[in-house]
Order: sequence, then structure tokens, then C-alpha cells
Amino acid sequence: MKIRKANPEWDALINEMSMNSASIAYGLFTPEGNLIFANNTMCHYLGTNTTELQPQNNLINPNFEKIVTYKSNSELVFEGLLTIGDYTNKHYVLNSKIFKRNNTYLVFAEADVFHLFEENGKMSSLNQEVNNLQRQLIKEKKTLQQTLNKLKETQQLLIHSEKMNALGQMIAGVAHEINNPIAFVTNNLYELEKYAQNFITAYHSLELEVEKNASQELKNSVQRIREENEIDYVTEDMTEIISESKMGVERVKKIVEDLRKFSRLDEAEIKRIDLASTIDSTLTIVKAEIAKKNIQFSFDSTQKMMVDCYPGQLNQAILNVLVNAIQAVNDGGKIGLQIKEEDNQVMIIVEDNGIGITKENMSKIFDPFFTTKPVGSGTGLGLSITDKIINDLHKGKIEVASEIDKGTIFKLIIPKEIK
Amino acid sequence: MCATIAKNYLVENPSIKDLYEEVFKEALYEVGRLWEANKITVATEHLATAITEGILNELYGELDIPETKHQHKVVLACASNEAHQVGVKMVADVFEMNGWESYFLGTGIPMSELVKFIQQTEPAVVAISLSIFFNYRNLVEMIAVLKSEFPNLTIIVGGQGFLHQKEGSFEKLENIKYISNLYELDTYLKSI
Repeated sequence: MKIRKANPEWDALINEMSMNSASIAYGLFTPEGNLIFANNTMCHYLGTNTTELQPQNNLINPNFEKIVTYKSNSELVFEGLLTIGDYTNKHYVLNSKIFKRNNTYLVFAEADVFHLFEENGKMSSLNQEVNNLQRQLIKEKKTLQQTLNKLKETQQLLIHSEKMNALGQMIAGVAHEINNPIAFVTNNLYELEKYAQNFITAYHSLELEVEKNASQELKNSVQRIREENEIDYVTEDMTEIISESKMGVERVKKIVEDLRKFSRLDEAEIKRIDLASTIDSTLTIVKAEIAKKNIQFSFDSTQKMMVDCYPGQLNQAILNVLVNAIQAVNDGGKIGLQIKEEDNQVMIIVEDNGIGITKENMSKIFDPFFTTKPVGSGTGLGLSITDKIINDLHKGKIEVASEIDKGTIFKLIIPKEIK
Repeated sequence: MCATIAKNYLVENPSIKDLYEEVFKEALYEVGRLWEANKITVATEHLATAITEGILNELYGELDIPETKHQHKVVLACASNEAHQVGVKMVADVFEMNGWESYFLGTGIPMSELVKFIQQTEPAVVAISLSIFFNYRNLVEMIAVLKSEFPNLTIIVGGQGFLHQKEGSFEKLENIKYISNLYELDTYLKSI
């Protein structure tokens, strides 16, 4: 009031601001509850506007019938919570004071903004909490998904290794059964070759003898027998047949040897080896092939990397991949061999710029007896053996990436230490 | 609709960091400015924040997170008394996209709980967000406690609060890495 007296020039502005205040509501009423004057917010609560002043809503508690009965020694007839609304839908509970002067009532009401701020804050923090929980849920869902994927992968591996085990047992049996007859067929073939040579030599001596000393009659009948039995052709072809048979038997022996490797993977001991120098010794086996095809081959054998492994088997695994690479590249192609260490794992990477593997074949390359090589030049066991050596024996894994006509990358990954 | 806009943005430009910096950050800064100018109510501001957090959660589910075996850990929190957590959530996502395991604690974690949590998780980095410059003093106090409890801990700070450099000098925060945006964070994470 002091301000108003001292600064009457502010009256108009203060009036205007309070007319438009969103938190304060006031209005003048007749004793019958008719609205004489109200600011915007009171109009809002009563569902009307400042020009019409026709309330759609009521003062619910206390209502005007009650207000007019209030007795007081001062102008203030009521102080407390006032409910305004339309009974059924929206209603507002406000802190209020009601004054009576002459025959009009001033209803002054305001919202408890401190309480509102507090509630608003609580709501925000609850909302944040819900949000954070949601994020947590998504995170856990992801972890579950990953675990599920890992389980699926493990299941696949288990099924695969079960299959390989069963196959391995069968193959071991077959290999063993074939091995014995092959051994005596081989021996017999060598003996047969020797006998055949002796036989041919003896026959030629006999012929010579007949030529020198026999009667014409005997000579004629020898000539007849010779022609009837195609002796010239037979002696010539016999040597060839025996030599071909020897090659065939050698090949069967090689297949049986591969089968045996595949099924049994000779129990050897784990040794700590210098990987680069071991690989170097393996390379001597393929050097000739590499030179023959004029392949640009790179390998840094000076790297020092110690690793626990079954050396013979690991060499076999690397060799199989290398042989494939050599067969995949054209004359003058490129093959790179690298070794790397990462996270307690050792990686042997063989990269070539050869013909690549088709998508269709990619899923079959580790299947036993699957081969794309011409009949007779591959057993289809190379990568199966590599797979068994790396996955089963060394508890590692193989990663393959390939693009047609661009090349193939094989990564053999094994732990540095076998548990 | 906002989620559709965000998803369409990612179709045209698949950089999450761009979306966060150029769309979410700019939009929320604008919301802050409008709120300061009393052009929008606090309720609208909260609605905008809630929508953004909803989209962030949706995107979080599809985030491309690299699989690494030995994950670094980061604990993310807001300066005490800070009520804004959207920014630091985006920071958490960038950490995760770089293969980090993130522990997002949000707003209102008591200092003693934060210390306990850090003891349990042993993170490589603790990231603290400051949205309102007003809470700067709280941040300084938090860092003092963290430094005395964990002398070797790397602490990084950032947030809108650091844009209002009117008062105080931020060099006061010794051995603390200030990171001004998500691109800088990404570069930093790729360098360590």
C-alpha cells in the first residue's frame, strides 16, 4: 500500500499485471453469486471471460449459499481451501481468502506454486528414473541376445563335433580295414613286378635259344604260340600295368593316411615352439610348387612368437591351407603368410589373390570329402583336417573371407596357451 | 513423428554422432533458450526432453556396438544438483560405440554412492556432465573428492554449463580433460 501511495504512477501497470497473472485469481461477486468483475485466471477457473462474466463453473466448496452465512468481526469472512469447478470434470483446489465489503464479496485465490514446483521436480526425476530403467532393460536385452547367440554357436559347434566324432570313428575303422589288404597288395605288387621282369628276361633268353638251335618245325610252332597269345604286346603292357597299379595303390595309401590323420590326429604332446621357424620348416615342402607357378610369396620368418601347440598337427593345418592357396592362384599370383598376436591369441593368416570361393561352396569347405579340385587331385579332406586341428585340438577357430576372382583370406586363430 | 524424423535422418546420414550433435543437441539448446525467454512452459521443456530420451532409448537398442573382449569401463554421472541427463546419455552412447562398457548413473546420485560405485566397478574413466553453470561449484567439489579417493582416475567433463564461460576459470580443474563435443570425444577415445 505504501508503494501505491508513494508511486501512484505504477497503479495502472500493477493492476494490469495482476489482471493477467496466471497464479492469482480474484473476482467480485454479488451475494447471489453473480460475477461483477474478475481477472483472467478467475475467469479461466469459472469457464468464462472478462467481458461476458457468465460462469459455467461454480465455487463448489464453500459455495455461495454457505459463504453468505459466514459471520465475522472483520471484512475477512473465510480463509482456507476453495474448490472451483463443474462437479464432474475439472476442478481446482486453491488457497483462498473471501472478504465482504458493503454488499459485495471479493474472492481471492492462488495456487500453491511451491508445492507445484516440488511435485514437478518429483515427476521429472521419476520420469528420468523410468527412462534410465528402460535403458538398463535394453542393455540387458542385448546381453541376453548375445548370450543366446553364443549358446547357438556353441550348440552348432557341439553338433558339428558330434558329427565329426561319429564320422571319425567310422573312418578310423574303414582306414584300419583297408590298411591291411593295401599293405599286402603293395608288397605283392613289388614282388609281381620283380617276377614279371624275371619272366620277361627268361622268355627273351628262351626265344634267343630257339632262334639259334631249334628245328624249323619248332621255330614255326613257337612263332604260332607267340602270335596266338600276343606275347609281344603282353610283355610290353605288363610292365605298364604293374607300374600304374603301383601308382594307384600309392594313392589309396595316401587317402588312407589322410583318413587316419583326420580321424585320429595322432596323439602327440603339447610343446612350446617358435611359430615362425616352425612354419619356415613347413614351407620347404611347398617351395617347389611355389617356384613352379612363379608365385610371389611373402613371409617374415624373423618374427619371434612363442606358442603352445601340437607342432606336427599345426604344421599340417597350415600346410593344407597353403596348398589350397597355391592351387587357387594363377601363375605369377600372390600369397602372403602372416603371424600376429592379439589378446593372448595367435593368428596365422594366409592371403591369396586366387579364384576365391563361391558363396554356395563357403558353407561346405570344411565338410569331409568336399572338393572342387579335379577328380584325383584332392581327397576333400584337407580343410576338414585343418578344422579339426584348429577347432578341436587347439580350441581355436578359423575365419574365412573370400571374394570371387579377388582372393581368399584364411585366419587360423589359436590361444597362446592351451588349457 | 520425432522418432520417424530421427530415423529418416539416419537413413540419409548414418552418423549417430551427427544426429546427436546437429539435431538433438541443437533442438534441446533451443528448447532451453525458449524456456529461459518464457516462450514455453516448463511442462513443454519436459515433454521435449522426454521425447528425446525416448528416441535415444529406441536408438540405443539398435546401436552398433563392436564386440571386444577386454572392455574399458566408464562411469557417467551428472554434477550434483544437476537435473539434465540427456547430454551425458549421448556421451554414454559414444563410449559404447567405441567398445566401452558404460555405467550410466544419471542425475541425483549421492557423492558417497558414486565413490562406492567407482570402487566396485574400477572404471578407467569417470565422465561428469554439467548442464547449468550454476552447479559449477558442485562439480569442483565432486572432482576434489574423486581426486583424493582415486588419485589415478581419469576424469573428463563436459556439457552446456561450460558454454557460459562468463564466470570463473575452467583451467582451475587440473588434470581434468574437458571435452566440448561428441566428435572430440570420439577422437579422444580412438586415440587412447
